[in-house]
Amino acid sequence: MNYLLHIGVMLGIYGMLALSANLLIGFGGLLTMAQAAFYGLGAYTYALLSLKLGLPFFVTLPAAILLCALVGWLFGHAALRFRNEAFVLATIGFQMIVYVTLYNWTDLTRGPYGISGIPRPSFFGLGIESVPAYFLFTLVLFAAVLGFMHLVCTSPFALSLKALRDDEAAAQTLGICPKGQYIRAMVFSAAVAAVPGVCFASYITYIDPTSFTLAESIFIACILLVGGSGNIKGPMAGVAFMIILPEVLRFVGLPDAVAANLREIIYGVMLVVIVYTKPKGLAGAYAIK
Amino acid sequence: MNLFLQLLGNGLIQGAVAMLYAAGFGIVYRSFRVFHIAMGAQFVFSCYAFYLCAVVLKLPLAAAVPGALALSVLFALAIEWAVYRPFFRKGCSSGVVMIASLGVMIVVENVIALAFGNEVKTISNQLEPSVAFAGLRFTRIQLLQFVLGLGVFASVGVLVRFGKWFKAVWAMGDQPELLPVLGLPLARLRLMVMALGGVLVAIAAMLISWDIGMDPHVGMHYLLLGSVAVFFGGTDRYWAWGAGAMLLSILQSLAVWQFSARWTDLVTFGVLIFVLLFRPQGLFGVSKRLEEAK
Repeated sequence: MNYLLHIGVMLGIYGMLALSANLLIGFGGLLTMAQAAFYGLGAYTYALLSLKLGLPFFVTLPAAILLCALVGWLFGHAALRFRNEAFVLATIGFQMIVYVTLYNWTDLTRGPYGISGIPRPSFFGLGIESVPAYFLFTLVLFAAVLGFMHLVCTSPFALSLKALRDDEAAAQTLGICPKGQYIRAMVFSAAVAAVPGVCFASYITYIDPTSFTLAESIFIACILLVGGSGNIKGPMAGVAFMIILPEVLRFVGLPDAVAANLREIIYGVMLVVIVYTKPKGLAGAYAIK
Repeated sequence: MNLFLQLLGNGLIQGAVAMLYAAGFGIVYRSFRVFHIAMGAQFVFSCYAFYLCAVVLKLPLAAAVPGALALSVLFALAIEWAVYRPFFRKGCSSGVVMIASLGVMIVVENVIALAFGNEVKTISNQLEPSVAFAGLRFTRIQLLQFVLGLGVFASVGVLVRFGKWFKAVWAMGDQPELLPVLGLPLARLRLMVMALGGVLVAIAAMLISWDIGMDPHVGMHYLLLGSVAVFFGGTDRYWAWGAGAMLLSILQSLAVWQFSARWTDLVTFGVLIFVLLFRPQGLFGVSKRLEEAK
């Protein structure tokens, strides 16, 4: 039972990550490869504030969200001057800078040794310790993020992002400011990515930089490319497929080393086949340009 | 002072090899207008093709090198036939082809990991003889890397500058639909570009894997360095890719001298962000009018 609940927690974490990336990739049409950087910043902020300052969860979570929003705002001013490949390369650059900093700033992050003993959240003296309790807690966070993203995605702001995505020059003639709207999208996206970061750090109770690599950012982008983006259904379909597939392969009886490579091969083949035959992904609303 | 000169020398040698894989990335990027992520796959494939010929099949070096080069060219052509050309014919945007290219990279990396294992493989287990030069020390492979890297890059540069086909290749990057109108063989030119890119990356991959070995996941590292070098130098000029690669390698070496080897990636990507912000056309790139840049 705990195994199924663990998968449920991971589905929740990646669901939140996919929703955060969806705002930029699906609504803004900007392929970002930096989502794991914000995910990592959220996780490290929570771990350091909880362990070093002993701050409670209801302070560390908003702090992680605010820090990621601020970094997203600063990074957005630089990266959103670019589109297409240059934007992708800028996000890869940012992702690598965050990873190298987390890995090498050993005085603060303990580098490759990671941070262990991260406390689980507790409310009014009641700790969320068991896997079922943590599953329920993730479910609550996921529902909150889903509700927030639903509000954002049905707002005039999302419509203006879609207009910019489809024809930036035409959208500008309607008075939509690309810089302002894209930076807002980057800030929302970064802030939301902090939530699964906090959730992951407090669930595993140990983090190191290898959980927040470029490969992780590529994986998050693949969730949206396979499942689809530009709506809520697409990212959810992508998460279900990409997270449940390895678990299915586990039951086929393949050795772990083979299963891991086989899973990646399936992802890679699906990526090529889906962008060729079904550019909107399994359930998305936007065909990537 | 000696340490500085030694690191500068190492930077120049790394730069000479980096010029090759940067040019391998740049020539496909410039002529197809596709962010050629599969170059990472090409790099890994070439390393393992060399390993297959030299270690598994135990061929002498004189046969292993051309054998690996031939396999690498076939691999590059296969990417064009199986992936890039169908997407091009369908009229897909560069973003879509880039994602397909990422798919190729993921598949190839993992197929190689399944076939050869995830551990590091080496071509030679023997200690390389070194040569002392003005108080500095370089291995035989390093000297070969420097001479071959500069030599091959310069030779291809002369071809690019004076070869009539390369004028068409450059034009292909701007308006591919005009080439058939002018009676130029678009499909063959695309194959030529892929083959040339494959050769450049394969030579770099063999030189590097002979020196420090390989694992199935090295491709992304060299893809990032190559693409950063191209954007750093300027995407529209062949010589700028080489200059970008050389400067970046020297900067990385000097970062080791001033800070530590751990921060070299920070220097690389810091430089990238700096150049994108303050000189988006690259250090030696040409500024374009807005309508040209589209």
